[in-house]
Amino acid sequence: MNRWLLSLLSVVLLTNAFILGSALYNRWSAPVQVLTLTERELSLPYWNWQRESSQVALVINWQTAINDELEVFRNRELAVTEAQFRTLRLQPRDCEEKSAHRSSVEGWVALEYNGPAYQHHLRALEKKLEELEANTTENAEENTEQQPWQRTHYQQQLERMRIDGSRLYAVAVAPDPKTLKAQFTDTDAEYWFMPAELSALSECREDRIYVRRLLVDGLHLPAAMHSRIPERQSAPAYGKEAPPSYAVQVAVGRRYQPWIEAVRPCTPAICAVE
Amino acid sequence: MNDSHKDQAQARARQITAFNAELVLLEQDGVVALPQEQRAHIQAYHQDLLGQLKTDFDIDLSDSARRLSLGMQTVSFLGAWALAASVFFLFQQYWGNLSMAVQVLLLVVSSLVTLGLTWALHLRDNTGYFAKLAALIAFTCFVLNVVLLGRLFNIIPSPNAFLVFALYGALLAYALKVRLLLAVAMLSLFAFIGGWLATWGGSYWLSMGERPELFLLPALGLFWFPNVVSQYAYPGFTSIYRQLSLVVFFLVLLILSNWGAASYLSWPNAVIEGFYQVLGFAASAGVIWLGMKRSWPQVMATGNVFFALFLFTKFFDWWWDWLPKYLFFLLIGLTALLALLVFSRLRRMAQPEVQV
Repeated sequence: MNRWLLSLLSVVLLTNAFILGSALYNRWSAPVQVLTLTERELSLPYWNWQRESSQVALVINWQTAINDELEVFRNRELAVTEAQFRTLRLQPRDCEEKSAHRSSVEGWVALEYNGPAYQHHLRALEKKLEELEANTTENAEENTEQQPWQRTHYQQQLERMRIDGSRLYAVAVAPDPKTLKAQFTDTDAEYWFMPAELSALSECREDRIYVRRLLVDGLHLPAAMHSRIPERQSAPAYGKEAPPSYAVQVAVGRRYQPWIEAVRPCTPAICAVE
Repeated sequence: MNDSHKDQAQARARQITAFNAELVLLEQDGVVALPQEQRAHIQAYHQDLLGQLKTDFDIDLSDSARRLSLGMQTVSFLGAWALAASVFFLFQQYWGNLSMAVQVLLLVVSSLVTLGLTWALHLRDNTGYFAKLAALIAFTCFVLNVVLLGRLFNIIPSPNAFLVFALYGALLAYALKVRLLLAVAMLSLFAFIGGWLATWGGSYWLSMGERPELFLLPALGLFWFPNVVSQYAYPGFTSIYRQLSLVVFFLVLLILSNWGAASYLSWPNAVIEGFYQVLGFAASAGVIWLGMKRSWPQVMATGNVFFALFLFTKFFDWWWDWLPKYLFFLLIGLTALLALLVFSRLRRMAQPEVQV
């Protein structure tokens, strides 16, 4: 056989063997972790720009542990210690004129599911509403135009977080999954360890990082399960949230690669709202 | 079929046509008068030779045939992209509805079948157009094979995918002498080396675009590659290596001369931008000189284009806000005239002496 053809065949076969071997190794034995999430955490993308695409991937909805000021635009920022910041090999940005050499690094993030971070978010929203209420009663005469608007805003946010907001919260980061896993051995909450792109914040800060994105940001949905996901016609209107309609069983393999094992209709035990 | 021999055959055919045309003029002006027998002998020899070259290498024997060949090349180029896009969208439309086993099988088989088809066409297609077209489809299928398997198993994206794309693209390019695939393979190699260097430096591999300096060494390496490994048997490959790597190299300099913050150098941004502006001018002038010295016309042309780009970028920085627009464009026009004068002087120096 011609040596060119032989080389080309080898590239095709070896590449496929490597990818399939790696996938097989990941799924060979029992999954290292099985999580049951809902439509709140794994949903169809709002904007399906690929009209002609038959592939379906469920998008992972997540945010970082909320800050007490409830600043929504900071929902990808995570508080870290200086030691953690350095372990990630990040460099502070904009300390002098020059920006950092390493603009972003690959790290691992622990996503907490329906745990203390979610509860903290709910409590923070409730507290904020109580404060606004008290403020309105005390200063009824000085009531500004902004307060009723703020109340409605936080009420809607609380409603959304109770009914259809994601309960996946990035709570910790580490350079590798083993270090990260070791931090969560004595806890009842469920954690999902995912690779992520991390970067330093501007203003020379070493106490916070920015979780740019998860490196696997959507999970492939096998064709046999397509019919179990109700088709979303459009994004739900703000303030008209709907409870989740399905639950997704996600398995995580030896190489931390996740896959969807099953999709089922929601039951009260799995999809109960707060 | 050896393409370098095909080029030589085409050059010989052009030489014969030119010889016959010049002979007619010489005879008309009475400079030479070949005996009929000798003329017939030469004509018969040329006819035999041209017939043999046409049979062996499928060369163009007339201007109209040459124009049609050029048209076929253009159509083949456009057709290759269109068919590759068609294969891509075909997969997008139906692949997701299949079971996982069928999906995997279909991806692997599509790579193997398109490779087999390409090879079969390569053995039968005398013109080479159809085999080259099939090669691009085979490459597209292989890329889809790797990308879709990655999505199917939710595999973390890695720069290593670009290494196999570069390897497969380069093997196809060399096996079938497809220049377009060589360019695609080079771009994949740039992406792999950039991603790998970014990872080695501690960054996430996809942030390579934010650090253009990562591409400088690979660009220089690929520019010099044809000097180390002869590309004689692969027509047009040398110029693809040199031009594409020069374009990447100068684009990096151009970006850094305007965006010093993206540099690894620890100097102030203004100093970095100044440094890369000077380097850009010096390198493009050096490349023009190298192109003239080594008789590499494409290298010289690339140097010219980037020298002009560096110059006009600087003019824009200095004068756009400061000068009235008519004066700004007048200055650009005068600079172009000056460049024209310099080039015509250089051209005169390059012309051989003709005794009148």
